Amino acid sequence: MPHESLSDADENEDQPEGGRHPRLELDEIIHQPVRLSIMALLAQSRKVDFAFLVKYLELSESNLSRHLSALEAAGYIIITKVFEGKRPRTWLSLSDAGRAAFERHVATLRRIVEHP
Amino acid sequence: MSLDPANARQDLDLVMRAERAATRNSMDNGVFYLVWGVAIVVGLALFDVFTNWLATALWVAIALVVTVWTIIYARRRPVQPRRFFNHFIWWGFYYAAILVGGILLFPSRPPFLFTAVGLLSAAPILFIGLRQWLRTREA
Repeated sequence: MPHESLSDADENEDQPEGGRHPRLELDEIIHQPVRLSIMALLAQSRKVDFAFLVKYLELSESNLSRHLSALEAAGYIIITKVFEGKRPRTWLSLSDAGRAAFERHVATLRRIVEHP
Repeated sequence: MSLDPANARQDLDLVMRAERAATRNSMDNGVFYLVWGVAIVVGLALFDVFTNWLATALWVAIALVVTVWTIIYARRRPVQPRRFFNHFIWWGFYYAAILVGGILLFPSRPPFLFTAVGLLSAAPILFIGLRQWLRTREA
């Protein structure tokens, strides 16, 4: 998804009166499309299987792992590795901080759409 | 970071698609309710066709098979929902009321009484299941 960057001067020009433009409140970690999809899936669930995410997002395991590491480092997700029978399984879930950050991010997106 | 309303709308669409995918691949996709709804209609209709003992035995067998299916189906879902069973718990009270009410109101057991009870009692969960199933398949 192409999101062009504006210079600082441009950003100051279209700030609304009495506050920062909502786009400046977007969470940079969640903003990336793959990570936004991951966060949306996790926000809807208690936990999600890693293998399902690989398939749904059409990513390689290593590529998905990089995105997950970024989210984990920010404290947004919890990664749990378990054995179910003899099969190893990786479950992903949203932390409280992640849920709050995702809800803030979506609320900001809605404000941008409703009050451009 | 810059984002215009069109990009923001695209991002919201992405979120909506992901949320729908999560529901479609969880126990909340409506299939559970549809399967149990059909099982209840069939199970109760057996009481209009067979003797009480035979119908009870068959109904217990159906309920056991569907229970095992539920456990396996739930375990295999790659997405575990945050909340589940809310509808089913409330429906249990409704089911009991319809079943007891039907037997008390029609003690002579007219033809197709139990089929009617089954349809009436399963209607809400079939409706919920169908609505959830269709919602996960919206474009």
